[in-house]
Amino acid sequence: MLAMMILLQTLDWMLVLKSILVGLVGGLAVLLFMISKNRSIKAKHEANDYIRKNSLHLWDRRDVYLYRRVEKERREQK
Amino acid sequence: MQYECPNCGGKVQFDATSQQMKCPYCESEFSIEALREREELISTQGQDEMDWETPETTWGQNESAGMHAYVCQSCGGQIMTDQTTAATKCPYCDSPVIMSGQVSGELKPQYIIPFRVDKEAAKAALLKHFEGKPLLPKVFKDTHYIEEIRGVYVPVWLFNADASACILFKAEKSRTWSDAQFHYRETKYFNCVRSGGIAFAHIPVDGSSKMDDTMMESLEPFSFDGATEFQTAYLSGYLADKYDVSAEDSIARANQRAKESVELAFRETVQGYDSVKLDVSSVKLKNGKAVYALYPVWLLNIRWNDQLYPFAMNGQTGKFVGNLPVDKGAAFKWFFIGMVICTVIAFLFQLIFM
Repeated sequence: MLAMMILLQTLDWMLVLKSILVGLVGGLAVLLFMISKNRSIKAKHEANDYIRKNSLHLWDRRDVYLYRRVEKERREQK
Repeated sequence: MQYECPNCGGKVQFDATSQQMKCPYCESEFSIEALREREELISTQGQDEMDWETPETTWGQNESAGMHAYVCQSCGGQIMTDQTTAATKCPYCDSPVIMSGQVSGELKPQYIIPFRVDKEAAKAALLKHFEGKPLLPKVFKDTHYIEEIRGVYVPVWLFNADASACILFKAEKSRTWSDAQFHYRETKYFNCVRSGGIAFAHIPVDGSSKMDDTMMESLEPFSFDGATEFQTAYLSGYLADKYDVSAEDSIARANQRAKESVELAFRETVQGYDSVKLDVSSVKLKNGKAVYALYPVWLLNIRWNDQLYPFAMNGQTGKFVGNLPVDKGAAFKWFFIGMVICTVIAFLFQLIFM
């Protein structure tokens, strides 16, 4: 009992609160992952399975340079 | 002629200091040649052109003899079968169906993929689908309804076409370096032009309003190599839905999928950059043709808690799909377990490392 009281007085409650918040997020992630296993109906937005084999051919392939941008950040001086 | 800035869309102006075209809004600089090339590309390629030719062959009198048509009293759907097979329930909504007469006059399918997976395999696949799902309510696994699995030929429109496209991508390449005073990051911006062709064969679009389109797409792919010319004999023992979504109404979905595939295929040819985004796309279709076919699907509906849960299996490949309900009690239990474990790990991690 005494040990419990000492523990409660010395405990960092911010640490506990942060851990609980992480736990809530983690628990939600676990639940969403398990719900996703129950879902198997998904729309197909592309038709890649129906492309004729070797039918892709390019007659124009150009990479045109437009411009460049340089950003700089001062280094921390020791 | 005024050019638009490829970065922000503002009107660029000639900058005498740099002898380049400069955007006054984002201060990006470009060569005149690069801007001219980009404008030419956008103005000459124009809009997408995606047109299709649709089929017109109807049932002959001899062909439809012996084919019965049924109407669902609940959803109004029309299914057909040969005279030796009786239909009693709608495969989509489980309601009773009544015979409405002979099949006649409607469009006749040109192709059919016969069932390759039998009813026993369908039942086994359903039970396997329930395995490894801890959130599934236990009563859902009761197998008494499993005999109600029905083989249905779903009407689909198959689209063939040759596509040509001109697509412009925006790409970026970055590098970083440092000296004694600064960290530098240089980003170079490119326009990547890809023009070419690609061909599509048998893109399927669901021709039945009763069959959920997303579910039908989830069952893909169907291989047309397994298709054969339609004969009524293949329908024996199975139901066949009649199309109620026309080829013309299905075209938009085929166009969307073809365009998405063209853009993805061309995107894969843009290599060596840190980031690539689509800028302008123009897709044109030639020799676009739609054909009417029947594809095999095993269907089952399970009613639980006043909600109907449809399940389907690809009758050619055996792929099984269907969304399962979630048991709230089990969901809370797993959420609580996950939360406790993550809380303990986070607590110990902070104690040890911080």
